[in-house]
Amino acid sequence: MAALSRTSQNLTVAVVGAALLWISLFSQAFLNYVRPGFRPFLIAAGGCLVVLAVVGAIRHWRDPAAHGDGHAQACGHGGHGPRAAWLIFLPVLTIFFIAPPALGSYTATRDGEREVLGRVDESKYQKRSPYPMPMDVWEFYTLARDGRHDMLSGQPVELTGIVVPREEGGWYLGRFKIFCCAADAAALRVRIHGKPSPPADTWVTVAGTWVPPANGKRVSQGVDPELSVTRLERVPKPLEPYE
Amino acid sequence: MPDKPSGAASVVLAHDEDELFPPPSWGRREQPSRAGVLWALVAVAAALAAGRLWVAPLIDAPAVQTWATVFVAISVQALPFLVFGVALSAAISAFVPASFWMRALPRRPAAAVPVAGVAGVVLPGCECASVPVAGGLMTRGVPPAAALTFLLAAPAINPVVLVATAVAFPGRPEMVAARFVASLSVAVVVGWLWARFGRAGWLRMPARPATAGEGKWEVFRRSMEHDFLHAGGFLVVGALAAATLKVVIPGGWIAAVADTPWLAVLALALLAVLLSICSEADAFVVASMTEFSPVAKLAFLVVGPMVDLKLIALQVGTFGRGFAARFAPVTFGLAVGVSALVGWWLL
Repeated sequence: MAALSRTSQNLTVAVVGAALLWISLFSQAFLNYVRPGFRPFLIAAGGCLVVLAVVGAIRHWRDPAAHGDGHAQACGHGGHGPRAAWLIFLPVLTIFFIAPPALGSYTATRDGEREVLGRVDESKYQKRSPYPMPMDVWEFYTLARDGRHDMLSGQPVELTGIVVPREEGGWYLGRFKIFCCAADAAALRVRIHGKPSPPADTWVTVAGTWVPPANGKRVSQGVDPELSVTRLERVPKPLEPYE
Repeated sequence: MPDKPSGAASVVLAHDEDELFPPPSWGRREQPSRAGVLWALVAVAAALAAGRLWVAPLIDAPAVQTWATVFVAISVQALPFLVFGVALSAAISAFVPASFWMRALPRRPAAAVPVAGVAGVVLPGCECASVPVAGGLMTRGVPPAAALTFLLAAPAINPVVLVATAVAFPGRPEMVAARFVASLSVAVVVGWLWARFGRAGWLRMPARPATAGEGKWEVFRRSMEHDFLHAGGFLVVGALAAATLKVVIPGGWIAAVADTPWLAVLALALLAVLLSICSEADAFVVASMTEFSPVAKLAFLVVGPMVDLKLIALQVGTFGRGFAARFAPVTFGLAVGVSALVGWWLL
């Protein structure tokens, strides 16, 4: 009985390894779940598992009686082994059957506001330009939160994100910043003025200028930064959905 | 070739292996034909491809998708660390002779505990890697108290995590210092408690597959496969729970308790358990919760790498249910208490 049990083990390890390779080496799906820099680790781990399983299978096929049979006799018992080992198939099945997409407007609406971290490299934005300056949403968010009128006033910026409907009417440009994986995503919302809302979850690039908060409140006090938009275009989903 | 003692150990542990190997229902009595194995592989691949083609487009409820994204994200993010951890653990089993640990660590467990805690600095990774490594250390004769201290300290005080903490709290090096001091203290105190009060019966020693008469590489391969399957299943349990909570807990509810200091500390400590965020990312998450006091944030950073759903599941799988039921609450209580003390002192 352990014979196929050993085979099942090899098969399980191979399938998990192949799934890791599938989302990291043969497709870009991993970008929906973890940071881009994680790719080498995923490839290494997937490769390790596949090699482990293949070597195991070769050894077993060459010499099926070498071991495992002794083990089978040692644990000739009823079926009360750890069912947990099966569960390792669940993420694999989820990847293939649900194909989870990047987080979208559903999460962006539900998430509480966040004060986002990270230091903006201000030297990038020192030089003023009459043209909209492409900027990460989190950078815009952070500068607006810190009340950097000197950086943002009158300087058109270009932001890319998804359309997040606003409950009270109007819409946000939403983007997620992740630090490790999608489970720690912080939802960033920029309230958009000047253009009607495209359908929810559409990827758009908008260009416009920062609207300083009327009452002097800062973002961290519960106000999303606002952008008055003069140009809006639909864009394909970027390769990296998170910042 | 393994020496005699390890062969004897595997005999002693054999009775426990029914707990550790996948159920026999995985297999049938017949010898599998090679063609049969290939067909099984083809069937799995075909089922997955069919799922991608026909089932995936049908599922578009945003809540389900969000849940699935978070679940897969936690699993995918943790798997490389787990693979790294089980590889290291298997290498300890296969290539490092038990006598090495006898020489490297002080003989008395009470003295070995702090050494093991400081040794946690050398394991760059998160908590998923440290559970199998601690299991591997125990099977090689390291006193459980020392291995457990290592298990608690390593994910919190290694350089990768400390640098991440420094980046998340710019201009506040005292947060890094507080995290280091509090985490190491908790790990050492828990180790001493185990050395003093722990009973061998509470801990199911992680078994190794019977490897008498195998080459070192074969011991390595089998230990790794065995540990990976075993810990991987439990990791998935933790990821399931954490993803469900992430979707069920509405954002912002926890901010309601931020104004009461002691409640805030408890709330963030509990949140750390529920969210099961990787110790390399938790600093960024908690730093963004501006409503909370630095002490509450410290509690989150100290508790998270030591007690969370994913870890509890891994500990149940590796060391047994009786162990986790005692170890997790004690660690949680100590982590909260020490965080409050150290936070009051340093922050």
